[in-house]
Amino acid sequence: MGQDSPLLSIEHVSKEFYGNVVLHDVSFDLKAGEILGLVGENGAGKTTLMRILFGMPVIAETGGYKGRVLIDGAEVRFSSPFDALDAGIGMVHQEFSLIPGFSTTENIVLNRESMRPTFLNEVFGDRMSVLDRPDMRRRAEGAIAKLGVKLDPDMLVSEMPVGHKQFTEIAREINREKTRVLVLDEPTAVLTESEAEVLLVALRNLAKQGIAIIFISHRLHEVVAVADRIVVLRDGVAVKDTPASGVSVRDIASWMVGRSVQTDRVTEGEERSFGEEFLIVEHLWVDMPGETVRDVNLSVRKGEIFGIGGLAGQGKLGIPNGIMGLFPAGGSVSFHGKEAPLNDPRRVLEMGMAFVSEDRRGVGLLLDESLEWNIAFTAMQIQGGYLKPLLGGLLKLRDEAGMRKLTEEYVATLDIKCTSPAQKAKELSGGNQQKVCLAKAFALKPDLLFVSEPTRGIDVGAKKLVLDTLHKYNRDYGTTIVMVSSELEELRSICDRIAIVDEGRIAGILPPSAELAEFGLLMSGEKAEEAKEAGRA
Amino acid sequence: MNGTKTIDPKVRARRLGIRLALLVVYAVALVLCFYGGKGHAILVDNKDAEGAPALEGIMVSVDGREALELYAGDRDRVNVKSQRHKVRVEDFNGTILAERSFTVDVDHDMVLLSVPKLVAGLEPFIEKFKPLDQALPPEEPSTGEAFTSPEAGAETPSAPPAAP
Amino acid sequence: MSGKKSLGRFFTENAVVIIFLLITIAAIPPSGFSIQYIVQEMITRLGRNSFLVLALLLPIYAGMGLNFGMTLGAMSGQIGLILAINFNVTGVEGLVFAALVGTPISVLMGYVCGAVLNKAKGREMVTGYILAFFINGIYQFLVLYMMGSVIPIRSPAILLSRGYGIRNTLNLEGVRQSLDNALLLRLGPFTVPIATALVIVALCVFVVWFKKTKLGQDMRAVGHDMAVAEAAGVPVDRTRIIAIIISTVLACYGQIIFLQNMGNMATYNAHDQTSFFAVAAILVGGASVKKATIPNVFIGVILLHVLFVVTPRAGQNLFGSAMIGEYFRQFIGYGVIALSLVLYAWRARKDAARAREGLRGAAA
Repeated sequence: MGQDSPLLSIEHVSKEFYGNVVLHDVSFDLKAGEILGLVGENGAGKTTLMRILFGMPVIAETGGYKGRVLIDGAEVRFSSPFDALDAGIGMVHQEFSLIPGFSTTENIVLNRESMRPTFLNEVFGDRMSVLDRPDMRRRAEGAIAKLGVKLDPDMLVSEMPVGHKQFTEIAREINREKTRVLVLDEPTAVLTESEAEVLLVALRNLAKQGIAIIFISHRLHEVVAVADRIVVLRDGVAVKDTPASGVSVRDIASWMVGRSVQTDRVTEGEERSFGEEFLIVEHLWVDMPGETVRDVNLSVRKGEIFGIGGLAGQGKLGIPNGIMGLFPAGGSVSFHGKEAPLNDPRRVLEMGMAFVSEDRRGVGLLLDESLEWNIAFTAMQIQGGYLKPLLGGLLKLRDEAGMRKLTEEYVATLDIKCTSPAQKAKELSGGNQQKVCLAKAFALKPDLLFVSEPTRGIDVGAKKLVLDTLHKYNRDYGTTIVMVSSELEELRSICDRIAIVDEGRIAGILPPSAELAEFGLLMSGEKAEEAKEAGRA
Repeated sequence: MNGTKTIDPKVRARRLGIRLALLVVYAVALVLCFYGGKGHAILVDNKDAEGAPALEGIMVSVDGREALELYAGDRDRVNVKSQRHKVRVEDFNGTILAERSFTVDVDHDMVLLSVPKLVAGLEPFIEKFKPLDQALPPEEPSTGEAFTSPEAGAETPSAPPAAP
Repeated sequence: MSGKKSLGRFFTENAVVIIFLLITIAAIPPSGFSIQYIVQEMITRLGRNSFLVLALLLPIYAGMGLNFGMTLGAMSGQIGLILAINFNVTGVEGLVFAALVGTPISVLMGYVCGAVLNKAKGREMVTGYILAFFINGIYQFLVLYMMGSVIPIRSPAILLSRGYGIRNTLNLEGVRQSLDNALLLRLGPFTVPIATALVIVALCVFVVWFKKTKLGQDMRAVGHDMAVAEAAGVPVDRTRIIAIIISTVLACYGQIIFLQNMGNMATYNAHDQTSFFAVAAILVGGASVKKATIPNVFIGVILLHVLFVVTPRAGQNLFGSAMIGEYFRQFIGYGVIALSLVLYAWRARKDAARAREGLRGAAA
């Protein structure tokens, strides 16, 4: 397929969601038989771009997009994914869209089954046709052969290794006669290294047969290995569009994360010394849907602020949730030299750990209750604080005055904007709700505080306040803080060490002063070894 | 297949035809069942009728079934389906006194067949049977408040006594 | 997998069947019934109930759970039978007549039911159950007030003495066991209603064949994962409605077969527990909310009905009261439904946990 005119062109595409620009003037071309590597951090706009390309209804519902998408030089505007399929664009999603109880064959030809008509067609329509299983199987085998992998056409998807699921999904897309552009969104995320290897070979195979491929992955070495051209998105802008030859993983990583914004390190120049390693986590696994932790080993020293970062879905949120017993977990956690029980939130709280959940409205707050209640609640439940014994301890009454005093204290120190301590939690703004969550955890006077996504969904000013509060609390009381956040910048601004989680494991631990590219590499699962060296420094 | 998929107009016309034909088949089946399954009780009557006295001893067979033995003044009942039937009357010696086809009105659930009239060749030997006014047993409507299983009902088939 | 583990799995997966088998076997000796009597009783009850239970299969394939809405089909069948009795259409023709009258009504009912269930995805069972109560109201209005007043009824014998409304108990004399007796086979000491059996076999063949059609495949796909099926272009809502329509029509025929065997019909509550007993039977047979097969149907009908036959007598002999048996029958019927639902939820959670186990690290 030696033609030079592009098969697919994206021209000046912009998209905003309610005034929030997620894509700005993105353009690139794709030729037949070419593999384009599309990389970018979470929120860089990759998914939105693919949604536009695929005609997802959510795009039209949020006001459409600016710019043009051309196929063979003619503009297309898809109103549904089916239009995109008809135009020859196949998409393999991040999450498998396979039917587990169906065999490979049935999934590959799903809703495009071969059929033989029966008399009942005349009465009840074409769906009364009988399936032509031998032909379905033949077609499935054809698609599998085209992909060049080994797949059992009769195996149930539910019994397959994940790699095979991925291949099945790709086979399904290329089983459509028309498919010319194949979009793969993180196809290797769930694969083992050897499976990923096979997949890359299969993609090369497909490209040779003239299919254009858009390959989205955060594993940069794969992108470098397979792509002919690389487009880097950062904050909705295509910052780089370059042939892949001669590009190193390190280059891409720095293009990906290299923001112009300067980090203002709060702790600049400050000498820090910490106590012994008092939280030691070994071989932790956590069964948290969407944030599975596979095998995490880490230790936190007394008095430090320990950051945990990484891309969404890699398992960073699973770590605090698992240790605090909110999701099924296993492995060993020792705290103060004592074994901490897993799957038992109360015992962990009693040991002196506290948790500010990322799920503020669900787990963090009693939305319909007053601030007093919210702040004192956990302390009352766990430590029996703010309760007055009555009749020799037979009954316990709430110490309303004590609760009010406590609340007023935190309202003042954390600058919580509220009408009174009796106001309901749901009436506060996001930032103030977060402060209430913090106050609630502080009220426990914990030795170790887990803070998960403390600045999610709150505005910039409030973010700074929350971070400052954490920082101040750490300095004033010596409380050890483990902070989990998707925002690398905020981790770098207050943490003493930052661990990056990738695929449920710690990819490496870096000092906040490390280069951005280093963090980018770790997030892409690269050279964990090298980074570990830096973390020890 | 998607519902939106366009179908060849030829196929569409053929299907429309077949579907309409099936509707006709449905209607025909309904009518056939109605007429063919319609039950009639024939009261075979050997009593004095106007112009025809009762016969001494006869055997009456409807549609070739086992014959009924009727003496003068007897009446017996035969349940039949559909409307066209044959009746044969013999005496005890096997001499055929009469053999006729007859048609029952679809709307008559119970008809009286007067054998003397039939044998005498008088028309009409079939007429609608008018029962004496039977007072129906009073029955209170209840709407199934009782939570008994249908199985329980099965064990005692005569659930509400229909005693007059 | 080790033998012990797979044995354990066999027990958890078939817990309901095993529990039932044990209870049934335990209840047979105290009842004092002969095996011959029980076998004959089972032949009769298989003929009577299997069709209704088979009607539950398709909605389960389509992932809609147990179709409690099948009561709607039962009511349609009863309307057909009322009209057949009214016109004095007898014999097998009477049954076919009732079925032909009931078909369009049950198609309509099935459509309504399917459309409502599409609005209540994930809560089909309870919605169907309540919908049946609602339609029961319409049925009663129709039969109790409209028939004989607005809808002309020619046979006064089936009307209430007040002149309108159908009597509480309808004598199905004209059609009584006409299908069962159409072709009887004497097999040693047993009598087998061949015609009824043929109808049931025909339905089984249909179900097996149907699963091989495109529509059947779509139903399976929808049943496994609605979102994936939708994304692949399968018209999910339509497919679900069709599943319910077929189930409702089959329930209509099933109810006609059931009632012709019984020989009389409790006009206002014959349908009340149709779905309840059919559901109990299929669950006893080892089906779950998500998975059911034809063998489940027959095993279930046999097990449940052996219990129904023997418990009243066993209760009489053991406790001196047949009511105890009747009580057990209700208790067990509801109990088995509750048990199956709980076991199903428990098993689904276990399976999900097992599926995610593979994601854990070496420490697991």
